[in-house]
Amino acid sequence: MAYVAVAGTRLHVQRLGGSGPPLLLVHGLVDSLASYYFTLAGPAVELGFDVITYDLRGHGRSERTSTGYTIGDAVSDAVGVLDALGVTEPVHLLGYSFGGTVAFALAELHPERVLDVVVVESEPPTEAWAARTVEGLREVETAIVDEEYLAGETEIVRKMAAATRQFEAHTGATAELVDPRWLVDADRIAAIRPPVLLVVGGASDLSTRLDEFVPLLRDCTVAVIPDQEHMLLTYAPREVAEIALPWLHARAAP
Amino acid sequence: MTTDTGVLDTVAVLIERVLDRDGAAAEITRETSFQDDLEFESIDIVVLGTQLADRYGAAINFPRYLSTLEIDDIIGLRVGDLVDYVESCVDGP
Repeated sequence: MAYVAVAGTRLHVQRLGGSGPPLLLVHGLVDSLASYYFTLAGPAVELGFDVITYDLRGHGRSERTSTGYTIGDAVSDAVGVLDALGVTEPVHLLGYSFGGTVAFALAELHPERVLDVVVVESEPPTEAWAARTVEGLREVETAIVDEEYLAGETEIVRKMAAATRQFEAHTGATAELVDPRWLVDADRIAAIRPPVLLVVGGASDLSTRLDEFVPLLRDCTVAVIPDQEHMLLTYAPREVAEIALPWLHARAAP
Repeated sequence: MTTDTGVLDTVAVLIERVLDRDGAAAEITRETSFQDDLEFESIDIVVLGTQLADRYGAAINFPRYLSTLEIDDIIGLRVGDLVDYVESCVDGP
């Protein structure tokens, strides 16, 4: 198992082969790199990508620090992982949910490190995004004690609710995610340079809000997977792969 | 078929190591369910995959194997499924 130290924090990294260009995969909140390991990683390696993914701070097998959960920290951790692996050339970047929000922020703050970005059910880190995300975390945290609420839910949702409660109880994430220093306005969204492919579920909340940020982006392609809600990589992994990987591969080809 | 017990025993020891639970290996059979019996988290499967690759070499390609499974197959994954997969990799020509 591979660990790297980023600013003194131990992060679990998986580098899955492929001699081609680096592709960094960033997972979402209360999730782990397993979401990629089970879905996109194998097919991406087959296409030749040097697939790199890591457990976010506080997630999976990475260290759970009590602080360090601002968007700025998440970007520093991602860059730190690349630095620790000696990856200095710009990378293809793919993020799911919160991981895509980190990808937007990374592309904005460090455009020299990013060739292009695929985001799956993600939006840039605006003030409205931060408020919604924190509210969502609190809702899930409350739901865990409400058996009636969870009665009809799948095992996956029950596990995520339990994991959210643990995450909330042991970190300052909800307070830090709304740190305004790292949130972006329309001008900063418009300054994002790398091309973006946005994959959304046709029945997701995000699909109703695309007008808020897609027109601001310089170069953004939107792909909709019909009838799906937010958890696209869980419930429609092949559809995501069929859209995201050819787009990345075409851009990576010489 | 002599390799059958060998791979199962090795997988059981690696599972015990991943879970950091002494004595777990003795209870593990082909029918043991990762989720229901061992309470594996998905990240534990990743760690197990890394250890299997360390043990059996690069022919073990867990991400490729897992990407062929449906979500219900992954939820219902049993130790025997992994043993069969490992054997299919190491029994090559």
